[in-house]
Amino acid sequence: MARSPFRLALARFLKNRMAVACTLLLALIVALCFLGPLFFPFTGEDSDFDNISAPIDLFSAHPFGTDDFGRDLLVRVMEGGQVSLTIGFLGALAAGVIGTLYGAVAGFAGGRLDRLMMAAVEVLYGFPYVILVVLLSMLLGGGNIALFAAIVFTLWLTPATIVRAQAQSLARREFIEAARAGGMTNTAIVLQHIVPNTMVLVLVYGSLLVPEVILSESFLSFLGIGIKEPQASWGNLIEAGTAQMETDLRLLALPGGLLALVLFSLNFIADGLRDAFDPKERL
Amino acid sequence: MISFVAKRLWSGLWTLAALITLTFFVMRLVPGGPFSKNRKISPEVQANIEAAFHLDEPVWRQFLRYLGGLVQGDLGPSLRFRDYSVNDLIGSGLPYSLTLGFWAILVAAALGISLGMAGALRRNGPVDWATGAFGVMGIAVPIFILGPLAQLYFSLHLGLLPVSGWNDGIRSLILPVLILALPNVAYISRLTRSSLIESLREPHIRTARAKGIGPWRVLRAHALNGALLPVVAYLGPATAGLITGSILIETIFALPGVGRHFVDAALNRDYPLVMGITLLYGGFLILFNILTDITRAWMDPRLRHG
Amino acid sequence: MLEIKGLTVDFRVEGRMVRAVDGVSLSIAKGQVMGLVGESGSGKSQVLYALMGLLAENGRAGGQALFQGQDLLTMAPRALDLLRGKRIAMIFQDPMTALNPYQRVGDQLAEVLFHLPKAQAWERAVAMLERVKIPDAAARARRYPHEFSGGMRQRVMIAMALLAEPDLLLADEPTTALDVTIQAQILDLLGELAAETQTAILIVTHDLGVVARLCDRVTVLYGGRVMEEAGAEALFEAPRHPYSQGLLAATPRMEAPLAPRMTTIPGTPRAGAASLPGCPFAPRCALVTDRCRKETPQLIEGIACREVTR
Repeated sequence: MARSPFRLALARFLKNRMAVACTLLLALIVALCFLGPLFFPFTGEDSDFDNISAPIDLFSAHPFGTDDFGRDLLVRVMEGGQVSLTIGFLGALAAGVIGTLYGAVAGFAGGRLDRLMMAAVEVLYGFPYVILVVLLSMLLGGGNIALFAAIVFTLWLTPATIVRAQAQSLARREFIEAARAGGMTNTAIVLQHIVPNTMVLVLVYGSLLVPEVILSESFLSFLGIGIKEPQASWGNLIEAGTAQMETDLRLLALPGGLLALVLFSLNFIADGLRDAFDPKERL
Repeated sequence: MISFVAKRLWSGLWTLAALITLTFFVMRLVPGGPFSKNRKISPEVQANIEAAFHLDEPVWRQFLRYLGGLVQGDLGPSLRFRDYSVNDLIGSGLPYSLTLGFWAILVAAALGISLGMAGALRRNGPVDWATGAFGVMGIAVPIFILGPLAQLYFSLHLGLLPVSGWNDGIRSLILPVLILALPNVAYISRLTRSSLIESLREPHIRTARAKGIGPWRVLRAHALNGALLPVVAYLGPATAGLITGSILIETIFALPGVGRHFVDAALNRDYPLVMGITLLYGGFLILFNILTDITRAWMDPRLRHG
Repeated sequence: MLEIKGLTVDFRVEGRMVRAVDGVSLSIAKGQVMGLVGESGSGKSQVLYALMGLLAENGRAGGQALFQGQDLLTMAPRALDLLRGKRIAMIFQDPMTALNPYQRVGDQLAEVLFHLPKAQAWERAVAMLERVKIPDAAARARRYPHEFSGGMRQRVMIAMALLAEPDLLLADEPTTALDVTIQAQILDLLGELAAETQTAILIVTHDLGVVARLCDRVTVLYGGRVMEEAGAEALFEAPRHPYSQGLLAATPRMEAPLAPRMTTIPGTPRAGAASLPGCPFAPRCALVTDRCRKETPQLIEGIACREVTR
């Protein structure tokens, strides 16, 4: 029975216990962040002035206590997770799509256009990453959308170079020649032949982008350039936590621990995807 | 080889030029000026200040003026720290940032490569296992969590090392350098391990073993060069990561480096200071990418003509 | 000089031991050229790797391989290193990947003589490159492998192998990766140099043309076992084993340009045949009997087939 390469890869992925366990863990965290707040009658921005800096008490209204504004820590961490995870996945998706299209066009076109497009990538690589993000988010007027756009804009470069290399080798293959002889336009060839054939690569590298985007967001929020109070994100929660870690480690431990778990599982999921789609033996 | 170096330097120069131009104009497009925020000043005073800093001129003329200064090594005045020039500010922070960065990359490369080699040569041994666990930690726990935790444990609880600042000589450097190096140690050891294992399987290694030169010489003369090529290639991008990391580390450990100024300058629209730091970091990044390419070409003769 | 007795090679694959070479015996005298012939997958290259101690990590060799009285298979790695490259040398199949891409060709050659002073080793390396007819050898020694053509690289490999004037040369399909026109040149060169230095050669090949051109004796391998061992001329004139006969019939001959049709041996070699009882060639043999499938025939007077010797 002939099985499609995708199903074979899926079967290989499912055999990788670590990757499957990490996928489940990640799904659990996502569910917690998005569904958890529904079970609380208040939001993470509401202050409970009767319970300021409440300690951990699993059977009270605030299971993980409150911060010094009386805001529920667990709900804040879950809401922060919504922000971080959304930016992470949408950001990786956007960066992957932009990079794929850019790289596919450059690699397929070749010649002068390719050189010009890659020179632009080279220049952008020359920008120190933080600086580019900060400049861009300033240019776009600050705020969450600007932050998102800036992160995406700095992370599409690597997928673009990877896809370009792939597109270059694809452009020389017979079936592209056949498509051209059959009268397909260049746009159609890029969209119907080049892009689909780079999808596996993009999926594998895209899975590596997710943790990178999440890390960028939380790191910028930590520095005070990203998501700003009172809105919560893991980055600014960790920043607030470090300020009080001497007296109350839980403010750092909860968001920090969740962020570490997410990065941990994404790392193994990416490894699993790579091994599944690229069965060349890796150790 | 010489023409390769020249070509690489030439393209680096163009990248730097593009970097300068782009940053300059992006900065000017940013809404809000340095003196328009939170300050109630009369229009005349504002005009006077802007004239003093040539902010009333057309943008292209400001650009030419900036380039003129740059050629003479003058990065202009800081708009926020009134009595200092950008050269002063960068000059005072640079030695600290350089020291931090130098040691961090050295520790990352030395520790990462030796751990990776140990893992590859004794696969599934205790060192390999420990390095793997350590590597996962280095990737999962970002330095802005690790840094504060290290301060809490080693400095506040155990009192072994200073919490922050740069007043205790080498002791104040230990934590910042180690924490900054850690993610790269993790990555470099993984990279070294897998590429050395791959390299040891190449057919030319069999040829070398057939010469009867002994396992150490096979490793040193034949396997290591190929195995370290991807590691060297990674050192370029690692520098970029290190710059990002150093901004965090300088903030967390309150070190008087350049990175500390950057966020502040960006938020306060201190154009010349942001430009200066961008140039400095960008220049470093470009320089390191060139050095990486040259080192790789030196190690792999096949790259010299490409 | 080399005497192999009952050589076995096993590989651990997914926790099981799979036999690739089963009880191969052969001997080579000084200056003799022995061909080891068989289809791909017959385990012939593994014989050479076993002798050189170069089996893959999951491989293990058994039996005996006496080289000038010492058993190569049980020797300590350090003692083996005293022989490798000096008394026994090897030429590998693919000259494109068998040379170190990061090192000058001259350095790679000179390394064989690492016990000599550097300048002297280099000088001898250049002289050896001249002997394998590399033009402008002194300058080319300073070049890297990627600057050489495939044929030139294999000349370099031959130079490297013969540099220390070994007593035994192991050659693993030395011409398979090369153009047909280059193949003959390389073989002649190999034969010439070996004759000059009285070096014995064990050459592994699937190409009977190579055997005809170079070898004194031939050992025919199938499924990891020896089928027949004979003088090269005798084998070409009157192959005895059904497999040898099939092999010869499937080889085009110069003398008969209008031969009716090239024949093929039906079927394909079975994988891991050496692990199973019975004659490995039984499934493809025209003379097969029930006994062939159950009992493994022994090599008697140069042939392992009861149906022929009966």
